[in-house]
Amino acid sequence: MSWALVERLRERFPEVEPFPREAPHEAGAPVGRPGRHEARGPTYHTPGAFVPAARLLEVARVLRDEAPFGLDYCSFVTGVDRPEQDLVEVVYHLFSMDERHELLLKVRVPRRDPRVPSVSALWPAANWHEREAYDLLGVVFEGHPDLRRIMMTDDWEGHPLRKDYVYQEPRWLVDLGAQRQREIEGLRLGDRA
Amino acid sequence: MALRTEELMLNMGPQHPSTHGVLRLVVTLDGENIVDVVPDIGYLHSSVEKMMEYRTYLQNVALADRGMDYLTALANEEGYLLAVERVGRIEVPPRARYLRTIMLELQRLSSHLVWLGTWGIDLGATTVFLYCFRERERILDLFEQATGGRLHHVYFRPGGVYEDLPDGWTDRVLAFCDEFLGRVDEYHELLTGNPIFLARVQGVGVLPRDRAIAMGACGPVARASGVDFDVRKAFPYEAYGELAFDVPVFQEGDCFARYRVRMEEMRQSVRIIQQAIAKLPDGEIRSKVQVNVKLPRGEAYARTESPRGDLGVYLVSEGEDAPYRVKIRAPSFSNLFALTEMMRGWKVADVIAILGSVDIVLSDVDR
Amino acid sequence: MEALATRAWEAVAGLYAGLRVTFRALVGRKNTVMYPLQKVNVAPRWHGLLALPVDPETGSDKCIICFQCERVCPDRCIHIEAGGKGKDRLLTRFDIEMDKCCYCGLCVEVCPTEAIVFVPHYETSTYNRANLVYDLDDLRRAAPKEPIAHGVVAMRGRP
Ligand code: SF4
Ligand code: SF4
Repeated sequence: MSWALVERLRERFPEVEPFPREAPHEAGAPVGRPGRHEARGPTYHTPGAFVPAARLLEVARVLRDEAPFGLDYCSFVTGVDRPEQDLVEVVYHLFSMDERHELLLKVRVPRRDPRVPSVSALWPAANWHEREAYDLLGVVFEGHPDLRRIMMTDDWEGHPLRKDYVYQEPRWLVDLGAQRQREIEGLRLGDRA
Repeated sequence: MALRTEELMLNMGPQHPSTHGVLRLVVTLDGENIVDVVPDIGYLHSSVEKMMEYRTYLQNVALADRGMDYLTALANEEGYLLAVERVGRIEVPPRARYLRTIMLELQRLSSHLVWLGTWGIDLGATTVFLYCFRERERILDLFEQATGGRLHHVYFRPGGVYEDLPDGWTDRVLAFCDEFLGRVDEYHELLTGNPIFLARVQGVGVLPRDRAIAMGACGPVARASGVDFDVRKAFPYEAYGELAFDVPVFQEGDCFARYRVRMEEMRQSVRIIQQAIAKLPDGEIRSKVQVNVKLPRGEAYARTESPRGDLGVYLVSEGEDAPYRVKIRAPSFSNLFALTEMMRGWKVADVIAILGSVDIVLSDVDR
Repeated sequence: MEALATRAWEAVAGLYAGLRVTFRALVGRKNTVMYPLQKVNVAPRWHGLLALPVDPETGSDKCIICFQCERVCPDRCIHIEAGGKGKDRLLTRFDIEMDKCCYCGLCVEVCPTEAIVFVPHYETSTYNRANLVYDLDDLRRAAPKEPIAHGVVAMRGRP
């Protein structure tokens, strides 16, 4: 029933591109084996659509305010890093508390400079989720009231959920660790055993 | 003569015992009144989402169990596995579905008991804590007999559960359920009739319905604000569609309503457990899934009702034996964001009462 | 005045209701265990200490060196090395770093011969981190390396 919603959205905004529909599952296909599925594109089990970044705010406003959508609840905002396509997909999950239907929105933005307009004015709940996506994936939400890091410390370098992220221990932490180790050894705790 | 006043910034936490973990609240006060609250989180961030990208689907069960909410290990596994089973189109046999339901509801009881006990301590009712932990201990013993773990079980598997129940376990659970209903009445006696308790929670920290939805509140917090939504009812998973239970909803939106929602939920959980045990079918407990299973390409968002609210897992598979991306939509994270809304305008003494009534677990907030 | 009397009565009634519950708990069954002096029994499925128990028939453990547990371990804390060929294949190293182990039980699940099992021990803490690496001999012994709690019991239990 939510797939019908995607169709309605497409009627309203022709540039919105619905997810390719789920092909019916062949009976008897082995469970959890890729094989035949591999050649096909991914299966989208949750209905949704791709939205161009420039139209996002407009689409979002219609989705929130107008019948038949009425999607008043934003479950999460996140991103998926896809280095081989040089993209970051920003994912929004919207839900309607009254109608009980859900919709995924995906916005594809270039990986080098990922920028999307912030929807936190429409759904205040998106505020922290956008901060998290900014922190962990480096997506910049334009117009966000308070775009700071939320999980990592303010002086953290890099965005950990990027696929090419490499963790490097900061120098001070390495030194501190070595210092602690020397102190512990000085206590000769294990000798009691 | 006008008194010169100015706003005071007060740091609560991160090492404050009543913030239930390492949460820092930057409270701006005007005299006793709260002007603004800015929660500062991230002290417990463990990057579970990143770690999951480097482990197989089976290994991730152990990770979901530990890396997220430490009071609701089984609910985490359920959220993660539901997404895996949806993407991989893995069937779960009926008996396993019922076993999972029983376990999830026991988990809800134990989690709500911890909430009630710790909230009682926050409000100065220390004895409630001891009573709640007495009952919780019995639930943990039941878990231990069935799964081998008390807090971290790793009991669910893609396509079922690990082991069947030990002999006589269901009888012990039923005996516990009967006794537990009496205990809930006892808690009611202790708290609901107590005028000091009522004065501290009734009408405090009101979150109206429209604000609750806009701020993304979920679970018991939203239901206390009049949002009639429970994933177990709206999108039934496991055996919930076949069992009868009520979803308590209250309109007031204050701390007392949140308390009553959870108390009623405990009764309903007992009801679900009793029904599920009565209906427990025989047969397989696990469908055949390889150890290092590879899922077909695809993505799904699965939502479950964890004791703290709407726990969702958004899983992207690229045909490998490990997920490409896992996004965990943590209920505490969303509820904590709504906290600002609840606290504005109340007195500083209410901070702890309101914070406790939201029931956050910091490892769930930070993941 | 009337209202004050009502409130006072409510306070007394609330206090009385609370104390009744307390009193019931006071005379009821005891729920605590004097832990280091008294031990609690754990369930047979308890995820405690890992071990490779010795089979009394063969005088050795049942491991067939298939490396499945090493591969499935999410924390990569099992390290196995083996020498020899065919029938003479011999375990030369079987280490479990118990400080990394998360007691998930996946290794027990995948083991085809039930060679690696959980044994019901729960007092595995030690003063030295090095004592948490269990090698083949420790695993065959199936007991904690440094039974700390014994020391506690001896001290506390002294008359
Ligand atoms: S119990 Fe889990 S973490 Fe521990 S050794 Fe076995 S597989 Fe590894
Ligand atoms: S899985 Fe069992 S038999 Fe195989 S190496 Fe591990 S302990 Fe030995």
